Amino acid sequence: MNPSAPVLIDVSNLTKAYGGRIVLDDISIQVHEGEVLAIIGTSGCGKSTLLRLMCGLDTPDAGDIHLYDPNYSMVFQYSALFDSLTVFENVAFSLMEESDDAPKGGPLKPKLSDPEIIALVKEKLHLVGLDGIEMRYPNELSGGMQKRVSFARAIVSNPRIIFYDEPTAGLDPIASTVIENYILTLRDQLGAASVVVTHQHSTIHRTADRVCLLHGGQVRWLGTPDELEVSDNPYALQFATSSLIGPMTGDLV
Amino acid sequence: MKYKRLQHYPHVDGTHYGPALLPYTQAIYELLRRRLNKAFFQIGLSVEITGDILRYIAQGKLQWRHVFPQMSFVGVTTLGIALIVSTFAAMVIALQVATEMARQGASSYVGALVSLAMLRELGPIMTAVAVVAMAGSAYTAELSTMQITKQIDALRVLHVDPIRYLIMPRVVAAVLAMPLLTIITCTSGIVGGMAISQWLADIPWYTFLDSVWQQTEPKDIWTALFKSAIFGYTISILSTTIGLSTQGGAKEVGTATTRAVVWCFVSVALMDYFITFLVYGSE
Ligand SMILES: Nc1ncnc2c1ncn2[C@@H]1O[C@H](COP(=O)(O)OP(=O)(O)OP(=O)(O)O)[C@@H](O)[C@H]1O
Ligand SMILES: [Mg+2]
Repeated sequence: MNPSAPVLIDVSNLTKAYGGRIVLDDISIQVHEGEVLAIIGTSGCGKSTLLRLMCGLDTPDAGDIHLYDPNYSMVFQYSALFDSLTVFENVAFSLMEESDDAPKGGPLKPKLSDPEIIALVKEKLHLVGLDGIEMRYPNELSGGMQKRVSFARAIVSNPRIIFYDEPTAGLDPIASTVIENYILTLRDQLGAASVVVTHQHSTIHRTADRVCLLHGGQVRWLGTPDELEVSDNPYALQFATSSLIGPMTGDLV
Repeated sequence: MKYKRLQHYPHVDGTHYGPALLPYTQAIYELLRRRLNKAFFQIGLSVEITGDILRYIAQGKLQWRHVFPQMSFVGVTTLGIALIVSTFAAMVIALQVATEMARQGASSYVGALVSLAMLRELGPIMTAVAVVAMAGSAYTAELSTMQITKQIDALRVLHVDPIRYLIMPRVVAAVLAMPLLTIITCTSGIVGGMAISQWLADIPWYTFLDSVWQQTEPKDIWTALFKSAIFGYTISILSTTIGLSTQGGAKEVGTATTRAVVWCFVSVALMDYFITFLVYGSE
């Protein structure tokens, strides 16, 4: 990561509570162009909530979120495919529908011709290892296949800011590697700023430039994946060693 | 530079209540208050979304390729039921009055009676009943399922406004399809009434039709069309906004659908009264 690269995602003093229970407490994070930030933490610590806030699906109780590129996208934890559309229509969705929040000065994405769209969708589906399923419906796919279609749908318009909510959870190791490689491709070719929520060791180590450990609504540790392995921060230590002894045990047992 | 992101529509949140002083009065009061809150919330949301739809139409963002499938959905699912209920309603009227009027020497008014009853009231209302039952409930179930399975969120992060993509085509389709349906059901009702009059009261079909032509004014037809368009708007906007603001799980999809049906019936009845009052009240 290049620290002088411009900031694309700027989160400052973010707070969110559900029904009086504080989930995120005064969080500030910046992600630069060409950087992958991994967010880790125990289940239920607010990782998905943070992503939802960052892409505007929920409103924060306090704090600011700025995205400095309008072309953002997200891979949902549970796929969220349009179940009345075919796989092709799902992946082609953002290419065929005009954008409603394009900033002044033109549409978000170039208008493509039908053959171009078909070729692009085929290419992205091939990339995630799903050939020849264009005409199937999401409910005819396995969970892992849905996840990969959802990945293809999110990246088809070459977003410059992208949020991944557990993109490799539930995938076989080979499919995981394919996804991880593509996260790096987007980073290197487009200078995309990515936020990857993950529990998976391989995803953290293959993709992340920085790792942010969330617990109790706060950022407890921030560093590179290699530092995570050797850190003596009690949170990082417990996460890296999967130990039952440590500050994050209370929630689990 | 900060870009405007698609607006997130709020939901009615659960409210916490203090200890009850007078348990029953308090409970009833709270129930009413919550119901009213919900009603105002839903009406406000509908008005707001209508504003968005008008804005999109003014910007030329109405896409007919999304409207036509919805029109054929409303038409195909509803036509059968609408024809059955409205034709039988017209036949019941003929059954009630034809014999008696023929005996009183008023055969030449039976056609007018059936036709005015159909155009002014029964045609639009019976069609609305069919549209609520078949299309309105389907809209609510579909949109609320999309909401709880995060498909609405997926639309938003793909930069597509669910109001433009999901609600606008359904509302426009209902507004256009309902008057067409009403014309068909009124025609079928008049034919049904004619058959019953001929069969039970020996009123010749040409006398019946003559009476229809003599007494039916263009105003009645325009009012029937206008009423149906308003009903179509009311039904589609309520069922879609209720669907869009659903939160929870499978049970909430069920209650939202029921609520939408009830709301649609009540609103259609109110709208019917006001439109009839405005058009015919001063006569
Ligand atoms: N709509 C909501 N209403 C109430 N509470 C919520 C809502 N959404 C999330 N929460 C709560 O916020 C907390 C964080 O949830 P979130 O989904 O962000 O966890 P997560 O870190 O993504 O967990 P996981 O790793 O299991 O996906 C949880 O305790 C959850 O109960
Ligand atoms: Mg999550």
